[in-house]
Amino acid sequence: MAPDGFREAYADALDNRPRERPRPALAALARRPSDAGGAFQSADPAQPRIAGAGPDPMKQQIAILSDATRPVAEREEALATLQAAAFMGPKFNPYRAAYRSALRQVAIDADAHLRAQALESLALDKDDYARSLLLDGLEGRRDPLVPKAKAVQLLAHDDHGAALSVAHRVLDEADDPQAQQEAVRVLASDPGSGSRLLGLYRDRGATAELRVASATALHALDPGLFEPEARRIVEDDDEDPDVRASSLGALAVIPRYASTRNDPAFVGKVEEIRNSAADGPLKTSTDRYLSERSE
Amino acid sequence: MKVEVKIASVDHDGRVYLGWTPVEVTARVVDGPGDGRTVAVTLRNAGTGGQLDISLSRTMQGAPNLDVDLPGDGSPLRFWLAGRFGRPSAAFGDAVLQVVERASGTVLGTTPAMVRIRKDANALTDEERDRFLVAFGTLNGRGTGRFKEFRDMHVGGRPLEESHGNMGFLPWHRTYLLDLERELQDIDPTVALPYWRFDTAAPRVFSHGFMGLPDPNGRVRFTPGHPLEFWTTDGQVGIVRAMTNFRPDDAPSGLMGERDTLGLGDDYVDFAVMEGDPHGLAHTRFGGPIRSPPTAPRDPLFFLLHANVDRLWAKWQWFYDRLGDADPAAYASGGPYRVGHNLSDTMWPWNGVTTAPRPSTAPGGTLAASTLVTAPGPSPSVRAMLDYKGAGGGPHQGFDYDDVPFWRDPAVA
Amino acid sequence: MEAELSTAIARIDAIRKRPELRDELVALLCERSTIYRGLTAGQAERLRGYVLASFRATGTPAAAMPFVVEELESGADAYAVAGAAKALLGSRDLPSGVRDLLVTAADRIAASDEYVDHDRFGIGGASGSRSAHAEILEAIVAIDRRSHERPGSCCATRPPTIGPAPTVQTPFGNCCDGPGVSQASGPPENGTSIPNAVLQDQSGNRLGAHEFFIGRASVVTFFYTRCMNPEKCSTTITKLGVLQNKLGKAAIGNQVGVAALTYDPQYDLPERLFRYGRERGMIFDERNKLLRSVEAFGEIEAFFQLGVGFGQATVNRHRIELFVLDKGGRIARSFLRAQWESDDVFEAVEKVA
Repeated sequence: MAPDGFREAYADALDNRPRERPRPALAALARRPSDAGGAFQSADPAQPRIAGAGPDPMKQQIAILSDATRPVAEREEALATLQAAAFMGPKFNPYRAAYRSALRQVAIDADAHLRAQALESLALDKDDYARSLLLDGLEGRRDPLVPKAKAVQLLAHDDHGAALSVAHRVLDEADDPQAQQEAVRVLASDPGSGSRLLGLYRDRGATAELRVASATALHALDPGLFEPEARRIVEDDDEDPDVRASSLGALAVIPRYASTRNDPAFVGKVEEIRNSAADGPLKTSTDRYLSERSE
Repeated sequence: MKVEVKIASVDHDGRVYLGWTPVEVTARVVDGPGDGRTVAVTLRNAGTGGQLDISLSRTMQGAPNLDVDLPGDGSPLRFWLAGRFGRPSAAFGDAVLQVVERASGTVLGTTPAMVRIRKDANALTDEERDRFLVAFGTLNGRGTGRFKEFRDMHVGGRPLEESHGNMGFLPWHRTYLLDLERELQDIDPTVALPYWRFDTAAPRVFSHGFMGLPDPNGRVRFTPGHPLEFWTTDGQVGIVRAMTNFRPDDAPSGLMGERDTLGLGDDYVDFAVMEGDPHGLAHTRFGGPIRSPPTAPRDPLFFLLHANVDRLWAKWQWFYDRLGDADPAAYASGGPYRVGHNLSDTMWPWNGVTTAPRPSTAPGGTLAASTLVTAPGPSPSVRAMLDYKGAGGGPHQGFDYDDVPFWRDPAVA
Repeated sequence: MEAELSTAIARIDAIRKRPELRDELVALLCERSTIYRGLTAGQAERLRGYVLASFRATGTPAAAMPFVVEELESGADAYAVAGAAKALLGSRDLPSGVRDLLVTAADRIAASDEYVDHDRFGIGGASGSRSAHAEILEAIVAIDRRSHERPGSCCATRPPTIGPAPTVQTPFGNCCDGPGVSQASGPPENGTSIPNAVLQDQSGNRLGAHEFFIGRASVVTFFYTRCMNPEKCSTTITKLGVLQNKLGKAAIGNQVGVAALTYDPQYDLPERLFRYGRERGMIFDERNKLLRSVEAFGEIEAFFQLGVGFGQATVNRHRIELFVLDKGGRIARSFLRAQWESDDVFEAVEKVA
């Protein structure tokens, strides 16, 4: 790309094409004057929170989202617009209460996709109503609003919530592999679950996906428990190659495991694997492990 | 006889990194012919990958070869060196500056370098991608840096007001990215933060080998052993990112493209409307934490998305010649705005200020330092983040985008 | 748990009609109350908000004011903060600075605003309800009106009236304290020495509590790294760093220990403590540490009568609490609930150093 004429060409391209404008509701919110004092000023009861005449574009979007008679695609776009608006922080604050209320309404909507999106928005915000809906679905007090795995995943967004007992129960039931994988990740925040995670990580009867998910949780919870098991699995030629690749990947990249490179026997074993493994994830992990500098 | 070259743009190991901004270089003869005599040399761009331009003044119009006469007594000669726009490096050492004696053709000095540029993530070589991923996974694995403070940096209320919904949205995020990039470069100096062009298809980005692909529940899957497979943020293990709006080999729909975004207007106040569309909408093209402000930085894609937002601003600045803070259209000239959003304000949390109306805690400390440059300093102001290239003659900040030149095409400017 | 919660709600509803029993409500604001056991953080906040809002009907006793002020000053939950704003209106004797507290509270919860209904316990109000932000603004208007109509009735210049919480037996425990309390829900001062629990610092070193806390004056506060409210733990540790700096420049600096203990010792392993403190400007050395109790956190909890409750995973709610210990490891001064100022703590520790 030669610099000569670069801007000229860019300018031509900019001028000679149909122009798309930003979504009106978002543009209107973005253009709303920013206040100097932050919400201190907006907290002044003498100041109306939503100024201006005419229909408020954000309120219109909330109305569209809430209106079950409208096409789902239209409501989904309204939801996306509102979520985009939420990134404008204080400018969106005057609509937060109505928005949350609409989300709670949509969380039990007939459309599964829209419902799941609303529940996720609420769950990311650690909303207690969403928590109770999800728990009710999992515990049979109502028809589930989302699949079991998704429900566990959404509950897990709140580590001060109720996900832990649910996760243990899902693992005990062992009837939904996807849900189990979500459940083990929840245990990463439970100091009492180290041995359970270790057991799942080393369980050759479990799927590689569940074992690796357990490994990631164990690493996050207690690296001291993870490291020796990861080494053992890497060194075991009878182990699942994907579990070995993932375990070695962690030892290669995560600084606290750099000390494994001081063990000549282990490094020698990794070299041996590299020399014998076919091309694939395990070989790539050995290459990465042996090439990474230690910090 | 040899020629010693000194370039003030080096990492901890003395290796040279360049961008599009010309940096000052000195060359001097060692064991030369002595007083009153000169050595006729050619300063030569000799790399096989990244290309260099050389000039005697600070300009983007350098040339690959420059004939100069070096003083024989060892006095230094000053010249300028820059990466050639459009020809960045793929690895360290693929850019080379040679000093060749014109009479004999003897190479008197060789300086390997890298033209380190933020690139389109979808166009990275496999090696570039892997270096980036390993550095990112390593940084995350440290559990420090930007990954621990998200809970306090991006939560609603005052922290979010420092960075969103006001004029400083773009400078704040430019700083946030620079902070992260410098932490990555502390691990691997050859890494530059790539950007995700959210208005074009990026099938290489959305693959198991790069940013991962979601299962039906939005749980992101990687190739076993992938450097981000053990990604942990804020106590949450792994990444959730459902692709609700587009397939991996398509472009997202429903948001403004690059040229429309630049076409918002030539005044910053008009351009800043992009905080909603395309920026906010780009976040909502997915399901998962990236869709919500307080949790968005849990997803590594957040940083690639925001690198594109910053690239759009950088390109707008270049296109409309809006880098200088003296230009009232280069930033919001009205105001005053909330503290942190005015041109002269410093930015939280890097300034460490914890008195109202700032948030009451400022985790993470000052902006990460760079061995290459001193700008924008540990506690940058909004103003400092405008002319990141030093186009106005000031210091540059050590980053560039592959499609934003050092300055405007002189034929047009 | 659900049954106990239902019982408590029924009791609160009954007290709303019998103001003479309102002191029972104060006891329900103590985090140690059994009613909070096992609740999620969201449930705990909602319950507190409901209790606080009840004071609007019963009148707000002076003993409740530290809880009200605390919620307005550092609460993050919109429902609970709006409940505190209502409680303020239940008081005839408002402390100074409450208007500013309300304004900053409105600012703080604006990004998590929601419709609230304090008339019945449940989640969220209908769209026709008033939002938490609007409730707080309403409180500001009411206080302004009261101030206008009855000059001197509001926002006096004297400091907030903070008396000892009453000792009230409730079915959910008696967590509030009797005589000797300097502020609500605190432990007795100048009592016994801190128990010699086994502790571990941010570098993994083990030590006995007496090793650290006996033989020199010390400052000890509590926190946990998973805290969701930046106005609490993150701010506490940030301010502890400021206090360290202040002490470091003073003559007594090398005679004072500065420590923070985690409420969540099983999760907050040394590496987590180290990172958390370092990123908030804490200095670490022999006199300055972040600590976890290796075992018997209950002894520490009991000694300080900590204002903390636990859900199924971790803390569900805690107060801000800092203690100055004398050279014998006895509590000389407590700073509870309200944000503490490093100058005040410095002054307190100077007296016992």
